[in-house]
Amino acid sequence: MRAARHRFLTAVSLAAIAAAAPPARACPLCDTGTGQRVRAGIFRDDFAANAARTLLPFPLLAGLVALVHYGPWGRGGRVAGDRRTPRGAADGTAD
Amino acid sequence: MGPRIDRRPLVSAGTLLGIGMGGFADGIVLHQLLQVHNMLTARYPTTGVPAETALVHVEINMFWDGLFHAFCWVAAAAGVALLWRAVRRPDVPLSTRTLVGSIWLGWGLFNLVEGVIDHHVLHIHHVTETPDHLAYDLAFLAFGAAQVVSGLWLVRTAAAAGDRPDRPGHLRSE
Repeated sequence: MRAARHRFLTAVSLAAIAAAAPPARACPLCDTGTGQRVRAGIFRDDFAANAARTLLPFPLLAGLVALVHYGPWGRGGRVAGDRRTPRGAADGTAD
Repeated sequence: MGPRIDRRPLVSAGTLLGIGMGGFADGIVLHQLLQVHNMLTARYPTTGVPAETALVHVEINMFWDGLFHAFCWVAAAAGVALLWRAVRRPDVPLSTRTLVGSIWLGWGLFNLVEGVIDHHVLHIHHVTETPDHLAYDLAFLAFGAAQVVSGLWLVRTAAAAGDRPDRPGHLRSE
């Protein structure tokens, strides 16, 4: 009960602090002419194309990993002894 | 008689981890420490242009580098998840040689795929944005190919050696 009340007070306090805090000013260039040129250079008509160019290797690499994971290789002899239970199950360390 | 051993979960986990780590190595070493290229430096060059334009282009490239690194993070996190699943399976031999070889294999695959697509097909950047970039691009591919071959060799020799366990009690194939 005390723990739940403590969590509730913590959440309310954090929400109050977040609501009262001024907007973050982490970007030193955002309000400058340079910052505006940067934003214009990123969010232009070819944004989706640039995103696709940047990320294109990843789906291909994911396909290669899927080939490794499901491919017809890597299965061999049988496990020595009976290891049908996960490691740690016997001593209770597996969850 | 125990279940059939299956090396694929450990190899796929290591490969995915290697892809993520290879992407981080590329970004950290080539983009940030050496600063020889960024994600879109062939489209937004940071050298040979006026200083103010160079600053704008550096910032634009930083954005696309960030997107690239975000997906490297996703790959590494997915690799950790697959690794956790693999080590909990009783039929997966836990071999350090297999894991190291798989990570090296994944790193090499990243270099090969990223090198071919970004440097040679899309031309969004090159290893160095200089007139003689082709030699560096080919050397990058050769390094990736050597990583793939040596990684595969490590995985295959670990399997041939029976995936010797690193600690007593780990799985051993017959």
